Amino acid sequence: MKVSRWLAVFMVVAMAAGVFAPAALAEDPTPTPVPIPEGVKVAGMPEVLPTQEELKAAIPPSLMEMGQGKKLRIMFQGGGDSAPAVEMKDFLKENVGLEIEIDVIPPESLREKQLSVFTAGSSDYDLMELYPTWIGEYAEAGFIENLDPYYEKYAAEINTEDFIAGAQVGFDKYQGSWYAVPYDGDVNIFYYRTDLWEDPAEQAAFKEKYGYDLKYPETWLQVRDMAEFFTRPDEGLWGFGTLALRTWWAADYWANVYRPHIAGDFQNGMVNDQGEFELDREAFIKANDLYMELMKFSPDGILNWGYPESKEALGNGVVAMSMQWATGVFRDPRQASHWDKLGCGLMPGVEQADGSIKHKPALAVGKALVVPTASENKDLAFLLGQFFASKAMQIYETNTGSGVDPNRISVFEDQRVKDVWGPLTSCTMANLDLGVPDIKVPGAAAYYEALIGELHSSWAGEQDSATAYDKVMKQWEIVREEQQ
Amino acid sequence: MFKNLGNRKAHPYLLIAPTIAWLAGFIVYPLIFSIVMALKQFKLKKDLSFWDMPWVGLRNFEKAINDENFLGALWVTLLVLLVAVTIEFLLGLAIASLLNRKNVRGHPFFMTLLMTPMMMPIIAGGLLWRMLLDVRWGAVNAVVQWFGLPPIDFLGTIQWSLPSVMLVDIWQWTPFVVLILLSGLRAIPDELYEAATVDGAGRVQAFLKITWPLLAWPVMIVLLIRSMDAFKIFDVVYGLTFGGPGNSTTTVSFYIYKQGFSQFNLGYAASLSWIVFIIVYAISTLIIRFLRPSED
Repeated sequence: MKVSRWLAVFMVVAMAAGVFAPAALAEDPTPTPVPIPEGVKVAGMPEVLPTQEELKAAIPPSLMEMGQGKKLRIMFQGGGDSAPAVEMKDFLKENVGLEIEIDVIPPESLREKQLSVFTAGSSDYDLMELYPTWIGEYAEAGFIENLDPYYEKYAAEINTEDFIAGAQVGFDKYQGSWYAVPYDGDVNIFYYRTDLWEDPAEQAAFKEKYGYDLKYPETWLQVRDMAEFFTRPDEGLWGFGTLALRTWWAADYWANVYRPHIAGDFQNGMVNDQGEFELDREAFIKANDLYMELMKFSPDGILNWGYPESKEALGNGVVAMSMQWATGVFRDPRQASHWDKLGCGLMPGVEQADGSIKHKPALAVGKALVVPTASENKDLAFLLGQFFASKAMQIYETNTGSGVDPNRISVFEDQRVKDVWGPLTSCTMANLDLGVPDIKVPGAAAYYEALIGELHSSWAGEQDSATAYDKVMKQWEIVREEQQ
Repeated sequence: MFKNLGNRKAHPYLLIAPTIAWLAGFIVYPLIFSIVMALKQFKLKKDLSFWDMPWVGLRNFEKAINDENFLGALWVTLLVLLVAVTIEFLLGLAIASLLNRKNVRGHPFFMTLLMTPMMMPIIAGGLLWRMLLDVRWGAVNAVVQWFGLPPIDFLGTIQWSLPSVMLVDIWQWTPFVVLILLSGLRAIPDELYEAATVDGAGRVQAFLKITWPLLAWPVMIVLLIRSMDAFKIFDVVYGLTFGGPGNSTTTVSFYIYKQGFSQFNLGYAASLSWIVFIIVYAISTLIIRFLRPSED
């Protein structure tokens, strides 16, 4: 064959190689499955799940009374979120006589689908799962029910005191009123590798270099020092790494550093429920400069890290410290090779003039259940939502590994959850209680888009923090004007 | 009406009526609706019908002209058009010319292999290349490091992110260019080349005087389609970079998607779509004007 023909063949093969190369060449990022050590309990084991009796006892009496022969239609986000409800269909039919029809919508289409339903005035759905950041928009538009009267009416059947206080305000309330039933209690917590921190040699070397003890970092300045100390690319170890893909929830992760830098008190630190801007220029610049410094101690490619990349790096010990959602995944030997070497704590903060430390962890994303105003079965829908938010169901949801995280005190105190979550329980509770919610006013998506766009440009080196702040404010003014 | 059925003059109208109805319902109405939408501010309010939403006139268009992010996305898209489509065309022409030769062994096999990227869903292509280009465990960096070079952060730096998006586009759509151009090459009679050879024409002359003029239609079609496609590039960005780092890979389609379906700013998204439509129309007109073969 002539050279030109070889060239043609080469080019054709190169095109097709793209399809097959990942399997052949790429390094598999998935850790080799580790057998579950004896005595370790992980999600899915029968002994960590609630019994049928517990689940039956969790059904609100009014739901039992009114549900017979009724049918409810629910909209859930696809993936793990919908799994517990789908698995309860037969249980509810058998024990309540209630039929539930569940539509599972891909996450990226959830909002579009909901707004289509709302704007069409459809009464098709009785209960919907949503991201709390949409609550204000839906509430102001009159699409979802104010649930205050329902919480009052069924107070005897719901233990609201058991919901972690900070989380319920963050996820489920808007302007002081209940608009949702708690579902997925997402919160960012701070993880670190205990094997490194407990190593006497590391402790001595750190103290010699920085002049203070290597302990769990209380402040972001300490995180900076420790990130620098543990950045050792030749050992495949980096000091810090977290989710930084250009998605709106990456701004939530950044807010863990930004919010404690705000000098005074605030409600949200960005835009509060009254629509007032709380984005603080000085705190923004200081925090963003520090955040960019932390990124210098991260592996290459950090700006393209979504959840899978950051989960892999944290679970397999590639990074010494990380901010990530609280989840039992990191205590599961099947999913994280460093499952027994990860500790966690209260999100680091900023030292105040009086010596105290301000901690402001983000209630990043989260999920809640709402009742559309057009529903013809509002009471039933509310009560069904409460069943999904009951203690027994929250244990079921988290301990089946669905990814739906608890937000009840009693759930975190339950031995079965402690067995699966290990040391993550106490720090998750502490962070949930102090958590600051997402922006919830109408236009929240536009506020986030402007914020992450400018932040990401600064992280990519296209502009400094001050310019990023000014550009965010300029865009926010336009958004606010349009919302009026 | 039934009486008119017998009227021969009415027959043509009756026959085209279904087509007209289809066009009116599925083409004309949505177009008019989108124009009206571009002139309104989309408000979310229970029981507020679309027609009752406030008119804003040309304010959405005015906003677009001053929207730095939109203009940035437009620039990114034009770069993709200029660089990626040009490379796709040149590479496609080269492969098609080489595959057009006689006696290429295993031709059907190579054609099937060549079509593989095109057959793959675009979003899957984006996700696949996200893995391939990963700085730590990607296959491409495995090759880079095999040559003793440091790994390249293809997706996390503004220098490499847009070229990476272009690379995926080139990988996925060059086969389409090959397919069209190869069919054009196959349609050229061998006799013309034989006659040219007899007349003493060399390869370059034969290409310039025979191949290129007779390939004019396929070339125009392929550039027209790929140019229009460049403005619709979305899935690759969604799967590969989500528009980042910064706004370095945010294309107009991706930007309009976020305006429309993330922020539900439908009026503004409609106005942006019309601006893009006008630009695409202008580019298409230029391509047709300059590449359309003469009747001679």
